[in-house]
Formats: sequence, structure tokens, C-alpha cells
Amino acid sequence: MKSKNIIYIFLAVLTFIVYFSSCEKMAFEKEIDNTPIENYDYLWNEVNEKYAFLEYKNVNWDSIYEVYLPHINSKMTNDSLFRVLGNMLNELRDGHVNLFSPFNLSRYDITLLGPVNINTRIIKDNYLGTDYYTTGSFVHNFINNGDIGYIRYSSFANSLITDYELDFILERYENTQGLILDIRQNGGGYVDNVQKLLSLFCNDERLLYETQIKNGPNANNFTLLESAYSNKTERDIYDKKIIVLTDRGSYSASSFFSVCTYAFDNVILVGDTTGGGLGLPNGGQLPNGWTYRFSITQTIAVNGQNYENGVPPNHTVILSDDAAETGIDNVIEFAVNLIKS
Amino acid sequence: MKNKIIFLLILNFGISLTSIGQTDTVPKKTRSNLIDISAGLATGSLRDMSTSPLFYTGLLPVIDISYSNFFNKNLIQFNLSSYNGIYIKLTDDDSYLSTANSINTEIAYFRHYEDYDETGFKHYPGVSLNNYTSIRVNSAFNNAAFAFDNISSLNINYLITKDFTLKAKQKKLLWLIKYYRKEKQYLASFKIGIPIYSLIYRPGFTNPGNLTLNNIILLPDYKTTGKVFSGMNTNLSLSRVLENGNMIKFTYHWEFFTSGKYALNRLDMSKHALLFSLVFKIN
Repeated sequence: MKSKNIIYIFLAVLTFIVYFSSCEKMAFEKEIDNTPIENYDYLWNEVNEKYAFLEYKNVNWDSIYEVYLPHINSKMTNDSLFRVLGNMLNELRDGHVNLFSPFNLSRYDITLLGPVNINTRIIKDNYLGTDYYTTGSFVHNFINNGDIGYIRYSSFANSLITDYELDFILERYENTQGLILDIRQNGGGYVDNVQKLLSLFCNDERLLYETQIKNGPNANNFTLLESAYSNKTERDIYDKKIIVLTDRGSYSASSFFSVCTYAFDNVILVGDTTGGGLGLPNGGQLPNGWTYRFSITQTIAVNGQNYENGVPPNHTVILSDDAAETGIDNVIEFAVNLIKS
Repeated sequence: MKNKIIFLLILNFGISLTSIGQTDTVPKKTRSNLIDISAGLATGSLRDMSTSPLFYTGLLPVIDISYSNFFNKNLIQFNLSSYNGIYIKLTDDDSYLSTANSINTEIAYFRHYEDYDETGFKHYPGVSLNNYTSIRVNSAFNNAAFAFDNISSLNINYLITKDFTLKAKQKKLLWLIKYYRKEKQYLASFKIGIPIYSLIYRPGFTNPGNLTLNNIILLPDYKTTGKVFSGMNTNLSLSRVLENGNMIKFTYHWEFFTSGKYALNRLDMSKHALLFSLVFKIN
């Protein structure tokens, strides 16, 4: 066989491959059209099949489809489509549900469900003082003549809590009568920080909550409940009273932390019901590229309750305007009295 | 069940969905060991329905190393290749980017089928086991940013090779400059592989799995599913055989994979790669 023929064969095979590879899309399902109705259907269906709380929240998702469908048309602007999709998602009344576009972010503001139960200026002026310590994400100081440690933890998202930070706090406040851990308006963050913060007062393995995840398209398709335990460690712990202050702005990881405190006799929740958000949000993308998230798990407290809509405190105390005018945070004062009692 | 476990163990021994740039060059004489070191660039598309209905376009530098042992009528190949790059999706008003790192491993066996040697083409039917492991991170997907895939496949392959010589002759460059072209030996090869059964380890119904469990396992709620005929892969290569038996090789590789229309969280991907290789004869 002449070398020319070989070249021809080689080129023929190459052509064959290129032609064949152009057919690969035939094996793949066609990409969904980027039209308003396709985006609407896609998002509705994703929520319909994977959102964890349709039954719990008694949401009739089928009827919501019909409610918003008339607002969809092929000529609508991206801004209009975003508003329709965002409003549809907000029917879920869930702070873990968002739609993200390059020009806007839809959200359900859970903090508006209750008063802001904290005045940070009063805390700075009359509790933390000017010589407070900042250890990692913790801002803290002695209050009540040094009898009590006050720790403000405003976010689970700033950084991962370290053993060093906890050891420092533990050592500084080891001779106090109790600790106040203030997570009011703490919107959550890393779930890993929940477990870490628990190790401030827990070094044994105990049941914290149970959890399950969606595993099928029907509203009641979930895995069996699985137990989440605290980590057994050799760490020293703070074993005196700990008062955790919460409000509606205590969301997601803060609610997880609050639920976990139910497993400890020496930890008491004071303030307002948390914002909830005990479902783990997923992440996904629409045919037009916008991304979304919504909750796909459920969490059951040790008492068997589902507190997705908010973890109730052991003692409900709302910040009093009258007290605030005199520079007093009556929620903290209540906590102080609880420790002293 | 027992058979399934045995099959799983065999497949997970070290194996990949698609081997690329493998040394499908076969030396002219029997008994030979070759090491093939390749580098190149791949492009392709990927859609992971667990997070997005969109096809992302990949740009993936490739490094590939393979070892071939040819003895009597048998050819055994071990192959390791690595893709590290990005997948990107441009939409009307934004762009989304995912990093991608994957490793393919393969062990393949071919048998020289001599009946058609008189045609000048050598035929090598064979089988292979391979494993594809991929990690992708797309931060736009929040808690579902991390994606892990592991696909093990049993393939049937067919390799055809042809060696040929360009005779020495006097030539002219651009009809002007005379030069003498030495005799050159070449080896052309074409391989096609079809994964006849694949085990696909992917996210379950939701992505991510349940990360709220404290006793966290690495990949919660992942599922293994099986798929018959999950795609195809081909290699077309041309090697210049040097006097010492070493080779310089160019390869075009194409492959596609689909977990199937009815798969949970369907995965579709394809790759087109161009590779340049140095092939060393080691005995």
C-alpha cells in the first residue's frame, strides 16, 4: 500500500471521528430553552420535588404554580421574570430560599417576623465597656462586677472557631458564676462552628438532634431519621450556667445551636423565638444561568419537635423600650438574674 | 448480590471511564516495552443535572502517562491521565466557572488477531477496565459547590494499526528549494472503545447530601447506579518511529459519556483532546 493511501485513510478516519463526535449531542438530552416559561417551570419543579418543607408549612405548591403562571410571558424582561420567580419562592416563607441574578437577590427576610431584640450601642456602652476582648469572632468581657462573663457572638460565618479561642475564653471566665452567650441577630454561617461552640460546655457524646433529607420527588419522601451527636473530646468545659440569648434574627446555624442546647440542663435559652432555618440549603442553576437555593433537610429536636419556623426560648424576654432608654438591656438583666438565682 | 460485589471490587481495582492518549502504538516487532509521556489540551462539554441543566464548556490541560508491554500476540497497557482545568458557562448577562480536576486510570488487554495481517493492517480486539474520578467546584452553587463523580467501566476495545514508510527522495520546498528527504517510518493507529457496563457513583436525589450530621462522612447520600453502554471513546494517532525505536506521536482523542436519559441527576460529558507524546522504548 502506498504511503499516500495511508494518509488518505488516516484523513478518512479523522473525518469519521469528527463527524461522529459532532453527533455526541444526539446522545445528550437537548439543553432546556432559556425562555421565561422554561425557567419558571424548571424552578417550580425543582422546589416541588426537592424542597423539604412543603408539607410541614402546608404550602399548596400546585396552586402557587397557577397563581404566578399568568405573570409569565415570552416578552417579559429579566427584571420582571426575576420578580415573579422571587415572589413565588417567597411563598415558602423561608430565609434559606434565595434566587441570585447578576442584578438582584431575592430573599424572605425572617428578621421582620419579630422585633430586633438587641441594641448593640447599649451593650457597648453599658456591658462590654471599652476594654472588651476580641478573640476570633467572640467579643467578650466581665459584667456584673466580674461575676458573669458576657460573650457576644454575632456570626457563625466570620471564621472557624479554634480550640485556642475556646481555651482562652474558658480560662478567662473559669471563676465566674455563669456565662451569657449572646447570639441575637446572628444570621448563621458554618455548621461546623455549631459543633465547635458546643464544645465550650460539652465534651461527651450525646444526642443533639435527628435529621433527614429528601430522597424522592414526593413531598413526604425522606430518608430515615439519623441522629446527630456531639463530639466526645478530652477538653475542659464550662459546666456552670450558660444563658443563650436569641431573637428572630438568630437564624440557621444559630437555630441549630439553639436546638442543640435543649440537650443540656445547664444551658438556657432566653429572649425571642429564633428565626428557624433548620433545613440545609442546596444550590442549583436555572436554564438562564441564575442560581437558587432552598432547604432539603429537616431537623428534629431531642424533644421530637420540628422547629423549622423558629426555636422557642425557655424564657421569652423582649427588649423593653423603656429599659433601653435608661441604657439597660432587660434581656441581659434577666439572664443575669437567672444565673444569680 | 455476591456477583455484584465481586464485579464492584474488580472495577474499582483501578480503572477509568475513558482512557485517553493511551499508547495504542504497537511496535513492529514483538516483545517490547514502551513508556509514553503525553501532554496536551482538551476541550469539551459537561452537564451535571444535580446542579444545573446547562452545558459547561471545558478547557482542560492534560498530562498522560502510559506503559505498554507487548509480548507474543498480547498487548497489556496501563494508563494514567490527569485533566486539570476549568469549565465555564457564559449566559446572556453573566459567566459561571467551575474548577475541574480528574484522574483516569486504565488497565487494558489486547490480543493480536493475525488473520487480516496480509491487508497491511493489524487488528487487536481487547477489553479494559477503567476508572474516572472527578472533583469539580463551582462556588455559585453554594452548599452544592462541591461535585464528585466516580465512574468505573468495563470496556470492549478494538485497535487497528498500520505501519508505513515514506521512501527517501529528492524534494522541492515550494517548488524552489531542493532538499533530500530521508526515509521515514510511521505508525498510524485507531482505537475505539465502548463501555459496556459502568458503575456510576454520584450524588443521590439531592446535592449536597445531608451535611448537618456531625459524624460526617465524606460524601453523604451518594448512590451507585449501573449503566449499560454509557458512551464511546476513540483515539486516532500518528507516530513517527525513530531509528532507535522511540517515537514522536500526535493523538486526537474523543470520548463521550452519558449516565442516561432516565438517570437520577443525569451526567453528560464529552472531551476532545489533542496530545503530543514522546514514546520511549525501554527494551
